[in-house]
Amino acid sequence: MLKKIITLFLTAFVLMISPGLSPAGSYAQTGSTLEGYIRDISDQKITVEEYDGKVSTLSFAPAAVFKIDGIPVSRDDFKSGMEVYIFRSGQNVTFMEGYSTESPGYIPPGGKVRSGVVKKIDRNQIVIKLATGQEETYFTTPATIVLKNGSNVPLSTLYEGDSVRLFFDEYDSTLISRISIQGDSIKVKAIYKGTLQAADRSYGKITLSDVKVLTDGAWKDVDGVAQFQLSDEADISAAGYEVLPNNLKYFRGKTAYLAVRDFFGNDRIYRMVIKNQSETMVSGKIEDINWYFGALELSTKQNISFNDGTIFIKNGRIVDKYSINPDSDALIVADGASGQSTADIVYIYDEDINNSGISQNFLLAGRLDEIVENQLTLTDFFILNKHEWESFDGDKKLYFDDDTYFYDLEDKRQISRKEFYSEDYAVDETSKYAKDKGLRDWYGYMYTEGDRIVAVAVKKRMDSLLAQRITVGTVESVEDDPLTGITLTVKDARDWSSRKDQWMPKTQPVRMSIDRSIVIKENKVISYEDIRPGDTVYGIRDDFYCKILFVK
Amino acid sequence: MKKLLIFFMIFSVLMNQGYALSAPAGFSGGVNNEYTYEEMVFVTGKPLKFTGTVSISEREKQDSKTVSYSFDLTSPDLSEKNQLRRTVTYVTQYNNRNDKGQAIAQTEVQSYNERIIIGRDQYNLEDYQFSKSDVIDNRPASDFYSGNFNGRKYYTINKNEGNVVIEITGGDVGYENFWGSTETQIMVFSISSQRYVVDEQNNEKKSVSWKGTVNVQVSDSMTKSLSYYDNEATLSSFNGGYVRTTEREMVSKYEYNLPKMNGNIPDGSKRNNDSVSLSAQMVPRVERLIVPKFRDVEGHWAQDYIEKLYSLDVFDTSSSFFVPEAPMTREEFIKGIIRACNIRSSMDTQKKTVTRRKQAPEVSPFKDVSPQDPDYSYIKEGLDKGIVTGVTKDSFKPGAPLTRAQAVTILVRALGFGNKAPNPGYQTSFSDDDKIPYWAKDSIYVAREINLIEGDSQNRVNPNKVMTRAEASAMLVRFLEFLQKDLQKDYRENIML
Repeated sequence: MLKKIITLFLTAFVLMISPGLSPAGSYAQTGSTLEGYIRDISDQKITVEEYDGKVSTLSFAPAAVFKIDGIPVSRDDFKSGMEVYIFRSGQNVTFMEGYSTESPGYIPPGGKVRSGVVKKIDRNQIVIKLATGQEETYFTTPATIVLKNGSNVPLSTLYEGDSVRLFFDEYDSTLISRISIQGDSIKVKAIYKGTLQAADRSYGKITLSDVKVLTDGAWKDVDGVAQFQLSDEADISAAGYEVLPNNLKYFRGKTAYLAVRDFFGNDRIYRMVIKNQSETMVSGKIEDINWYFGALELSTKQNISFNDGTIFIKNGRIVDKYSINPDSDALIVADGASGQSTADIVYIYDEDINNSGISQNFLLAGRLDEIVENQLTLTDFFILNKHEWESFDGDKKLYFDDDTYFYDLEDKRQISRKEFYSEDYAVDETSKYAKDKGLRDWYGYMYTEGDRIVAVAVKKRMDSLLAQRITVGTVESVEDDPLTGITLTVKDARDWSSRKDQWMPKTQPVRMSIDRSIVIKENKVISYEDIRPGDTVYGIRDDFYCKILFVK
Repeated sequence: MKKLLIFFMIFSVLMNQGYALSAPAGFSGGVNNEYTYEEMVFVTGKPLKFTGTVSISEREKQDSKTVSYSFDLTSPDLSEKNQLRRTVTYVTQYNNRNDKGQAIAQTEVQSYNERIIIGRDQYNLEDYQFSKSDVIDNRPASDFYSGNFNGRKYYTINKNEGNVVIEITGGDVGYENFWGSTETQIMVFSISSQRYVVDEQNNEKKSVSWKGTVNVQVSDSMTKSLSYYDNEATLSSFNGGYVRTTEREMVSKYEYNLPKMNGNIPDGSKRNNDSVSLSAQMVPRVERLIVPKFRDVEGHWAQDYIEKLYSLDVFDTSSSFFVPEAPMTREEFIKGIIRACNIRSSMDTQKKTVTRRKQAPEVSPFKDVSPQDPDYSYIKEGLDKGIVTGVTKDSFKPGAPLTRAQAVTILVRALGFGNKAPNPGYQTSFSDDDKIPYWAKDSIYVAREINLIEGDSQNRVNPNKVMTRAEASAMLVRFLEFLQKDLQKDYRENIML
């Protein structure tokens, strides 16, 4: 009661000071109140049965204020049977509020939406940057539904730099009920450079001449002249300062770098930097980042500054500068003179099995010591850790189920769970049975999510893991070669060097056979037919033959 | 004669009206510009591209619209003599529910004729069933609509060699306002084919069948934007001015799951999963706008906003001084929103239809706004459309300064988004939520959700702060950007990418 009176006075006060949009103006401040149920209501009169049973019939003052649950309404919105609070002046109602809402603050599921770019992922915490520039932090739960291209995918597919829409079921909740991730169109399709010839404002297009594309660590000729469309969000800068589209005409004849994405089959510019002085291309490990001065220190002790116009690309996505970390390997297109360089493009090479802190996926290799119905014991096993096989003594228990993918590399066929645990893939080598039949334990590669095996590929003899190389890059083509079988050509490839502890870019595309590979995408085994040009891949290969291929 | 003239006026045929409306041509996922049209065809089990021309004619009556499409397409590879000819007419009946500001549109196919020649095979459309229903919500600043459709196309192959049945299910969403319109169709084609082929080994006829699905998303979007152009000559009476550019673009994506075909026969259980994107852009139309010449806005933080609105005739002052720091009045703001959004004035229509009839003198709903007031029509329009209400039942206070709460409420009401707020009994995320007038709470909540407004450095919305003319200009321009870009992104990129 007291609360309602306070509310009433507050409302009256606000109405007095604000000549706003209220449907009616101020109402009499003197009078009495009554509460109860509407018995009957018409245009002129209302009959109210108070809670104590007393019945009153009142008229409406000409400037009476009507509200239902705090929302301004008209007299017609009140119904018989409704509970009301009335302020009266004599026999006239000057204010009437009804109560109807069953679920205060309710929104339909998914009724609150936030759109933005993922700035940071830390376990169940996602920081997104909204279109307004504000950053907000939200949280995932095990029940969070994740969709990409309309298909349900694991949360581990999310990258920093992804464009997302987050849906919430409660208006004040920070727990995400559903995430919709923009598909592969978010990825940088190519980085071009060329001489700016024209900028057409009406079409939103720019024309470059002497166009080259960054491939395999070098600029390669594409076309004499090409036109590119600017996206609505395109950021253009020169020497760290924003360039308005209207002023692009002043940069005619200068070299421009473009980061383009695919927009329904066409290239569309999302970032553009105008070269200021002379170009130097550097490849190396970022040893330290000085955020205060805005500079990268490379392992070669070379310092390269960066600014708000620098294009940072990581995991194939345009990212915020704060998404890069020391110890990353990068290709830097720097711009400068007299030893002072500023990065126009920083292309981070790093790729890993896990996309972010959300993922808990591992690749193991080892001897299959024991297999029971849903459990496998590995012994003398290795785990791929930071692109290198790390050996462990002892045993490791892993679990599998009917959804696990089992593959016999010797027979080149998929096997069932029952075959996996009932055949002789793991035997007691000291037993008479094994000795009589000459059986030995098999070896396998296991891709796991925690301790659950997503896919396992088994073979009779252990590969030499030391001979294996990790290669990452972008798929250029997939072909069924009559001599080598299904063969992948990977451009912008780089191999991991254990000695240098960094990714070593290759100047030529890498070809690898995936005929006997397990191909994994979004935590599922896929067919080679599902690999598309433009996909980023992470492969464990033994020279030409790829063992495990992750499609990112 | 007069009747005939009216008949022709009503039944005006619009041929290839590039910018007339944003709606993809037909329901095939194709895209077109002024000159060419292209779409993907899947009747053979292989994705085949066809290009050519489409002509579109529209006839509108009071409660119905007839749209006819005529396609003449061939394979882009001229060595393959493939050909597609299709004419189809759809009729839409509108059931206007003016009491609710909504309309129900029911679309059926009226006539059709289609023949596809691919290699030596001819596919004839024997039957086409189609049903589509949309609900259109007419709000003051924009119309929003959403619909569902189902259809089935039945083709024969070489008259009696088999058939292809394409079942179509899907829906569309769209909006239409002065600053832009987008329609996005999301369809699934479920294709099943059965045909008789001659077995080369024993020369006997055998039946071959296959099934496939194609997910199609196609969007047609028109948007207007304002860009500033410098005057290249320096010895001119003005430095530069704004150009309103109208762009229209169609984009389409087909994601197919088809059998791998070896000629006319599926190659075992192998599937062909891939996607194809198409796009087409029309030539942008440009309109030069009047040049602002205020003496007191140069260098002001809101100069760009003020000049944009002036160029759009939102502010029709002839003064050389805009006075950006003076308070914006309620009357000026409602006039601004109606002019900026080109909200159709029902009064103008009324005037035209009853000019020759003697009518009762106009009575103002407010005692402080005379029908002779030059801005009376805007206030009346705002009241009729539910964008604004009086301060009291019979008083509008046109010259009173406008508060932020009032401005936000006007904008959200113009969009018709007020009902997107939670059920009563919630708090907004602003730190001064307790200062928000009860009548503005829903609007302020919604405006924050759709990024029309944001809090200050202390996360306050300052609802009762009087807005300056500069601040009101910035808010109006942000509102126009919402109509131009935010809606387009939500209806196209967010759905299709």
